Amino acid sequence: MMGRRLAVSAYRMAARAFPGRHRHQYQHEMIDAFERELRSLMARGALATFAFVAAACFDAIVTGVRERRRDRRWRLGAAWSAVDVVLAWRMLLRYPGLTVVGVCGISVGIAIAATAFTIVAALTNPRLPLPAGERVVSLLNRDASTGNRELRVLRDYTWWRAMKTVDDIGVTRTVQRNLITDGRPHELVTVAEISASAFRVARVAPLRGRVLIPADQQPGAPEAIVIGYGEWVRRFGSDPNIIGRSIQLGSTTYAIVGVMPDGFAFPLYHSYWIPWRIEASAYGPRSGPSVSVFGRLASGTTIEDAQAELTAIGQRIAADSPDTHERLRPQVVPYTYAFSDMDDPQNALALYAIELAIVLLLVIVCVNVAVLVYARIARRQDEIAVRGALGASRRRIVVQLFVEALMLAGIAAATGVGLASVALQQLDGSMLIVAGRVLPFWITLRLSPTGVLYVVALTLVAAGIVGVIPALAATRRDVYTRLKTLSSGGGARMQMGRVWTTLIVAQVALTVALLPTSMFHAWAALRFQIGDPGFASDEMLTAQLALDRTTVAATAEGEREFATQFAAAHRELERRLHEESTVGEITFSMVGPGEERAVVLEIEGRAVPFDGVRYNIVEGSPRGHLVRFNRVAIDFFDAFEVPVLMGRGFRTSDVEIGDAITPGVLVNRAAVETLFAGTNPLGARVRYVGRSRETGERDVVLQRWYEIVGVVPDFPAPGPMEAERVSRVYHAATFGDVYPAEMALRVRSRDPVAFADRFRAISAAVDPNLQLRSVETVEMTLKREQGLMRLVGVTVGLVILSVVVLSAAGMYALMSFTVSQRRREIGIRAALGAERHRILTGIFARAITQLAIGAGVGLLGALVLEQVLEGEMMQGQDALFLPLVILMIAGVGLLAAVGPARRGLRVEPTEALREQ
Amino acid sequence: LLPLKHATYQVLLALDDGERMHGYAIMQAVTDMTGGRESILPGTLYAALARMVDEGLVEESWPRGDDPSGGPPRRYYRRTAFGRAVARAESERLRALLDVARAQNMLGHRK
Repeated sequence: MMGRRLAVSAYRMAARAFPGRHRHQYQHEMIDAFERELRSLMARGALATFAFVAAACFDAIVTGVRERRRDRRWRLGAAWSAVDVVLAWRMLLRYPGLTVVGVCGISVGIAIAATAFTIVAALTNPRLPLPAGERVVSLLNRDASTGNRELRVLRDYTWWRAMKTVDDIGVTRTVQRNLITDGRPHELVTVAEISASAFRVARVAPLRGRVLIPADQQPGAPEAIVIGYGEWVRRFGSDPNIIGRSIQLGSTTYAIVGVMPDGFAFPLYHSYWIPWRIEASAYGPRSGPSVSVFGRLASGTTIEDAQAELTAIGQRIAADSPDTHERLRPQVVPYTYAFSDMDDPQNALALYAIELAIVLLLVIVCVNVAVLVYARIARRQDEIAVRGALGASRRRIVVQLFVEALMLAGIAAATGVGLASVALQQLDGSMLIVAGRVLPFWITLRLSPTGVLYVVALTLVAAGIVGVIPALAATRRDVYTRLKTLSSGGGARMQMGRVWTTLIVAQVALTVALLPTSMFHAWAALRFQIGDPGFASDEMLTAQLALDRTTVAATAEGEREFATQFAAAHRELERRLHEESTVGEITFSMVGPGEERAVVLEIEGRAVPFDGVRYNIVEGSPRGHLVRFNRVAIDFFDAFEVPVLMGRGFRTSDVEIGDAITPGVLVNRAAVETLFAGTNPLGARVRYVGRSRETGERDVVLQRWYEIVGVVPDFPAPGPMEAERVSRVYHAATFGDVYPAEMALRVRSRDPVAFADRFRAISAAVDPNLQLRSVETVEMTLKREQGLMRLVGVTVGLVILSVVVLSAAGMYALMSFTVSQRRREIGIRAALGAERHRILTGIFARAITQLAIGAGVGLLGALVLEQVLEGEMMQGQDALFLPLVILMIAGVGLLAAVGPARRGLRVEPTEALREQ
Repeated sequence: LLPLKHATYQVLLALDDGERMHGYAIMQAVTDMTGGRESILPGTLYAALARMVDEGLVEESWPRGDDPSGGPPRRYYRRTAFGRAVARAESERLRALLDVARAQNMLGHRK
């Protein structure tokens, strides 16, 4: 007896291996059958009995586990029934408000996330589209003390070439040359001066003719050039007899020896390749032009092997030339890393952090939509209760709600991908404008298959948050309780829990706190324009003037010779331009107006400000005033018709010659007000103590004293939204002082741009090696910047819009919930003859108070933020933007309340009471 | 459905046409019809029955009156026409194999 009970218990335990559904149906019968069999076997002896019990238990466990597995497979399969999809579709149509809000919010989130992913992937994990591109490497030198890359590695290249682990080591640099073709205006083109080994490294065969060969590099060899597919088609009409045709770059005529296939732009974005002829051994260590060195890993070696060999070579060089190489660390990196700074893990980390922040933004958006979905589920409680009572498990209901959310998120993802593609296209275009050239050939800002997978993953996460969380919260109680609430007809059903309410209120607070700033920035970006730059911007044609440097050796003496040559060419160009009838004033400067470079300034006899300048100061001290400086021709202000307000204008004696005199400088009005508190600055002496990264070593002289001799207005005039006033200091310059020179000429014709071709022709006549870069009117430059800012503005605006829409949705959910929760109460009040407005205030008092608290907290936050950041956020425009935001939120809140209020007032007293 | 799982085939054969049997009776029928050479354990049996109900091979019903054999109420099972057809198809399939075995003198002669 005892043994039988034990055996049954053992079997009962074993039967627990079966899934619950199966146990629920069959367990007692299984045990009954087991017990009967056991009884009949006990007569046959202990051994037979024991064998049966063991076999039956084992069988129950094995079969049970198998059933469980089968069950799970079935459940997964059944989870996706067509009915769910149809139901989900109907729900989307039945609640169009929720669908629109959800799709808008999530699609903007996904669009931003997908765009960010594509950019980050392009930057952090670029794939070189060459055969075995992952084995192509860059060799570079990094200064261990500053972390900066040393680009003058021509001498190092001669030593690195001995490496065994890297094959075909080559060198290249990018130069700009005037392309001179008969009957066409001269054009500036970007040319790669490159070792012949580059084509072996790239492993790409030419489409026509041949690639460059080592013989082309020999001094005295015929000048050979290889051109890109695009140039061949565009400029030479796909001429089949292109090989052997000649092409003039600057003063040199080259014979075309080959055409590369479409898409080939090695080393960066090039479509002209000329042989490398610079004799590397002519340069000392850490001198000469900036170049890039590349190669291909020898077969069977790894990048680590190459690094080990290069490090050894680097140590030998450092021992031989400690002055220049002691702190230099040579590195072997995947080819593209040399152009993206991504070998620094910190940079990559920063990018990933931004990506994560964007995903968090999406999560916030989804949580908002989840609040709405929760509110909607509240209205579907009856349906869910009935389905539960009819046997649908909690899991089944959650799956259905998940499918609904997935459909919503799916539509949003499709929209988001569309938005992202448009944004990426725009970005690709605007980057081209910003950089003034195309992106490296391996960067394509297009959504990749991995990007699509990322979007799919985000969609699943979004659907999880939007569907599963509210569904779990709504189905927490068991079927019985749910049915009970169904029969009681409302009353205390689902509750807008404290968490949800807090969430909505916190969101309103956050919106109010951050909206003014983002609105300000979006508005500023959209309205960006230098309203009236203070001169006729459409008449001023500007261009950067440079001279082809290949003709001169890069030594100190060569440098001086070059400056003299450039000054002569510049002077001659101005003289010839003056002969043109349409050309008025001509002048030049180091950089264009508004592009001045940052430096740290100290005023003689005045205390240095306690705080350091928070700017990119790479040399000297950050203790002083941050100002921007420019070197300008003596007639610069006259040419731009800018008057001198105080003191005098420039004289020839103000040009820095020798150390004997103190050169005179001009400052702008902002400098007088900021640095001198409005007092007379004339006669004060100033000097520079620090240099920023953007300011070249040769551009600025530190520690030399200058005397302020005059004051000019703020030029260019600050834009309407520009609250920060920039202090500027101007130095006098003459021909040859600045290189390259920023020329500006007044063209008195209806279309100054039409003069550009004549301008180029005159320049080429002076010297074919004289280059005119980006010839355009000031107005064109401004418009281009405006276009870019507009893109930024639209993006920020879209984000703001989705935040506002989501906030409104949250408020709507809260109000809507309040109404459905208090249906009975409204009915009773209406039955008792309460006035409509009293009912309304009664219902919404609490919700409105909560939202008002949120808005108040947000307002406080905005003010505190403004104080802490010393007006940086809205630049003193808070008086305009804060009330605007409050008005907007109040308006949105009222709009959100209209629907629920109308629903509340439509409650029929009799119906509401009957429900009780 | 073919080839059938061994347990499914056993159950289909044990349920004779028109007869309603409960689980334990099926277990006994399997043992009896094979002369004690084969048996089926309760875990396998009920897993097979559950699946066979889903597939329409057997019908499940509750007895109208009290169970004459005593104990808790038990489900009764009956082979459906479809179940019979499937068992027949499986038998045909096995016969084809048996014919091969017989042709190779693997079966010997029945006593």
